[in-house]
Amino acid sequence: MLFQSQEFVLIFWPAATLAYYAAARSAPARQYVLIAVSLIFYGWWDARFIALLVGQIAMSWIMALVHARTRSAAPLYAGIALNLASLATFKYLDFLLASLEGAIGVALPRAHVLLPIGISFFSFQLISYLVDRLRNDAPIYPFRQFALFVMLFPHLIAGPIVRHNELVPQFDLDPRREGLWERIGVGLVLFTIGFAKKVLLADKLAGLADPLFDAARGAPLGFAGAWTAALGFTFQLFLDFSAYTEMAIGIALVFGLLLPENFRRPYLSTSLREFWRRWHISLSNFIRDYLYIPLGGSRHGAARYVMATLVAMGLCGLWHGAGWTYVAWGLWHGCGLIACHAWQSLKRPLPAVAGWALTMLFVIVGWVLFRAADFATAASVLRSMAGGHGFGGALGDPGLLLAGAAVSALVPSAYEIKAMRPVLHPAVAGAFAVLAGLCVLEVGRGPAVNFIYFRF
Amino acid sequence: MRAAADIEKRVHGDNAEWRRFVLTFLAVFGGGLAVIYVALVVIDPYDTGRFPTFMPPGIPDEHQDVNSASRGRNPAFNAAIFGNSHGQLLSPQRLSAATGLRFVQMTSPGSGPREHMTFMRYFIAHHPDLKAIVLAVDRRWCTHDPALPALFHFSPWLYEGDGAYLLHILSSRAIVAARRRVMMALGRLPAYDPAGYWDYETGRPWTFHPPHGDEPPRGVATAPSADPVFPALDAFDGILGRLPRTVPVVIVMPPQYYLMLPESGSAAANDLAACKAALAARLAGRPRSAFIDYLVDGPLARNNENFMDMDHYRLPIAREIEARIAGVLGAPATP
Repeated sequence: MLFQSQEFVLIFWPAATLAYYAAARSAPARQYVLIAVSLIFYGWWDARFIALLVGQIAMSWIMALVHARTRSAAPLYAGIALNLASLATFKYLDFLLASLEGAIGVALPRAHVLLPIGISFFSFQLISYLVDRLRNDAPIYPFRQFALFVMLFPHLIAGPIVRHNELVPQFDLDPRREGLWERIGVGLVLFTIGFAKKVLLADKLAGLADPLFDAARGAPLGFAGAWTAALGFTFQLFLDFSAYTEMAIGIALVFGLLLPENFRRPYLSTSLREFWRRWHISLSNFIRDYLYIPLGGSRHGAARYVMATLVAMGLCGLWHGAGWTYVAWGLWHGCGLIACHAWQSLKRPLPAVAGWALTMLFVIVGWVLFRAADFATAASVLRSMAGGHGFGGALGDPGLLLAGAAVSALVPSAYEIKAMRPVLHPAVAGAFAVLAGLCVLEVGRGPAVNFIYFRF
Repeated sequence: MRAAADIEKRVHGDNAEWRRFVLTFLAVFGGGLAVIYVALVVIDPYDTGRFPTFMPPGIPDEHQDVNSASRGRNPAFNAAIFGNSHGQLLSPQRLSAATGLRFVQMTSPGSGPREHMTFMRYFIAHHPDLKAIVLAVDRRWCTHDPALPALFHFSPWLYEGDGAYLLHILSSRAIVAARRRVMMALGRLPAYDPAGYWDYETGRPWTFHPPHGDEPPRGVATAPSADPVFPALDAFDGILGRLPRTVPVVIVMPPQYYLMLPESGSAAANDLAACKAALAARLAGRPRSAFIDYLVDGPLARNNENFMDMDHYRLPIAREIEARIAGVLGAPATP
C-alpha cells in the first residue's frame, strides 16, 4: 500500500488512526494496534514476507536477550551476521553470482529471489541495535516495543532509518498529551506537502526523465535531451524521496510520534560535505556511526581517512542497489568528499555561488550514474551533456523543470515547517485540505507510482 | 505563578486554534471529496448505466479504453468489432450496411487479449440479442505468457462489478468526463459517434518508407510449434463456451508489411503458424464463422502503398477485409 494511494489516504490511515486513539488509554493496547496495522500495511505487498520481517525481528531480539543473560558477544555477532545474510540473500545474491560469473567466465545459475520491500531499511535498524548492544549503548526492550520500533509502518518501507533510542521511549507517551491538536495539524500539513510533491511534481518529472534514460540505452541523446534527463531525475529523486519522508513524519506525528529528519534542502548546499549533511540524513548518520568512524574516520592519518571514506561511500552506494553503477556512484561521492575535505583544509573557501554550482554539477553527474541502467548508458548520457553529440535541441518541459527546481530549493524541510509558527487560520487549513483533495483526485487517474527508494 | 498562568492560557489558546485548524482541514477535505464522489456516482461520467441517473446516454471521452463502457452497453447495436489499432480501420457502418447487423467499434489502440476479452465479456453481458462478433487479432494473442498482462492504459474496473467501479470512480479524469457529459446534455458540446469509428488515415500524411536491404525470402512455415500452449486462446475458450453456437464469430489476423513477418522456418514462424491453426480450430463447426488470415507474405504484404507504417494497413485494405468479413457473415435478409 502506497502512502499516496486512495486506499491509504481515505481508508487505511483514517481507520488506523481511529483504532489507535480508541486504544490510546492503554500503552500496550495502542502499541498492539500499531503493530497490527503495520503488519497489514507490510503484508499488503506480499504477505509471505511478513514471516521474514517478524523472523528477523524475533531473531535479533532473542540474540540480544541471550547476550544480556550470558554477557557473551557471540550472539550479537551472530545476529548481525544473520541480518546481513538475509540482506545478502534477498538483495545481492544474483548480483554476486553475476559478478562472479563475469570474473571467472563460467555460467552460473541465478536464484531469482524476490526482493522483500524495505529489507534494506529494517535490516539496518536491526543491525544498528545489535551494534549498540555491543557498545553497551542499548537496553533490552520488551518484545512488543522492540518489534514496533522496527515495523512501525510510517518508516518501515523507506525510512527515515530510526535508532531505537529515538523511537522506543516515545511509545510510552500518551498520544493525547498536551499538543495533541498541534501534532495532528502539523502532521496533516506535512503529509499534504509530501503528497503534492510526489503526485504533482515527482511523478510528472518521472514521465520526463524515464523515457530519455530508456532511449539513451539504444541511441545517444542530444545535448538538451541529456540535460533534460539529468535535471529531470535530479529533481524527481529529491522530490520523490523527500515527499516520502514528509509523509512518513506527518503520519507518525498524527500518532503522536516524532521521526528523525531526513532532508534539509540539500540542493542549496555549497559543498559536497554540506550536501551529505543535508541529504538522506538518517542514512548518512548510520554510515558515519557504524561504518566510517569504526573504519578510522579522519583521526588516524590521511591514508586511513581516504580508505574509510571510500569504503563507507562504496558500501553506501551498494546499499542503494545490487549493481556496480551504484558502487561507482558511492565511490564518485567518496572521491568528491575527499577532494572537498582537502580543499577545505587549505582554508581558501570558494565563493558561495561557485561552491554551489560546483556541488550541483558534481551531484547531477552522480545522479546520471545512479539512474542509468548500466555504465555504457551513463557514459553516453554524460558525453551528450558535455556536447559530445552536438549542442542542439531544447530542454524538455522547462516549466516542469523550473517548478521542480523551485520547490526543491524553496519549500522548507519537514523539521523547518514543524518549527515554523504557521498561520492558524481556517483559510490556511482549507487551502491545505483542497491541495490534499486535488492530490487524491489526481492519483485516482491510474495506478499509483512507487517511490524510488522502495526498490532499495 | 502569573507566568505559569500565562503559559497555561497560551497552551490552551493554541490547542483551541490547532483544534479548529484540524477540524477545518478534515471538514473541507472529507466534505469536499464526499460531495464530488456523490456527484460523480449520480452523473455517471462514463455512462456505465450502473445506477439510476438523470443524465441522457452519451460518450464523454475520446479514449476507447473508457468509452467502450458506454458503447458496449448501447442497445442500438447487436454486433461488435474487437481488437486494437489493427482492427480500428474496419468500419462498423460499412459492415452494418453489408450484413444487415448493427455494428459498433470496440477496438482500443495498444491493447491486447486481456483488454479485448474484457470488452467482449462486457458487450456480451449487455447484449442478449447478440448477432455477431468480429475480432481483429495480432501476434499478441499468440503470447505464451499466462499472466496476459494489460498492455495499455486500461481501466478494467469500468467493466467489472459495482464494487470495483465505486472504488475507482474518484478521480480528476472522471471529473473532466462528468463535465463533458453535462455539457453534452446541455447541448454545448457535440456528441461523439456512438458507433465508435475513427479513421486515423484520412486527412493525415502518410510517409511509409520501408527499410531497404537484402532481405531473405520470407513466408509462413507450417511446422509445429515447440510450445503449443497459447494462454490467450485458452482464456478465449471461456468466452466462446458461453456464447450461443448460433452467434457467428469472425477472427481476422490483419496484414503487416512483409518485413514484420518472421522468417520462414524460424521458431517464430512456426509459433505463429501454430497459433493461427489454434485460432482456426476454435471456430470449427460454428456457423457463419471463419478465421481470415492476412498476416502472410505475398503481393499485398510487399506493396508499400498498402501500409501506413510497418504494421498498419491503409483504407483500401480495410475495405477488402470488410468485404471478406461480410462474405462470411452473409448479406442482409431481403425484406
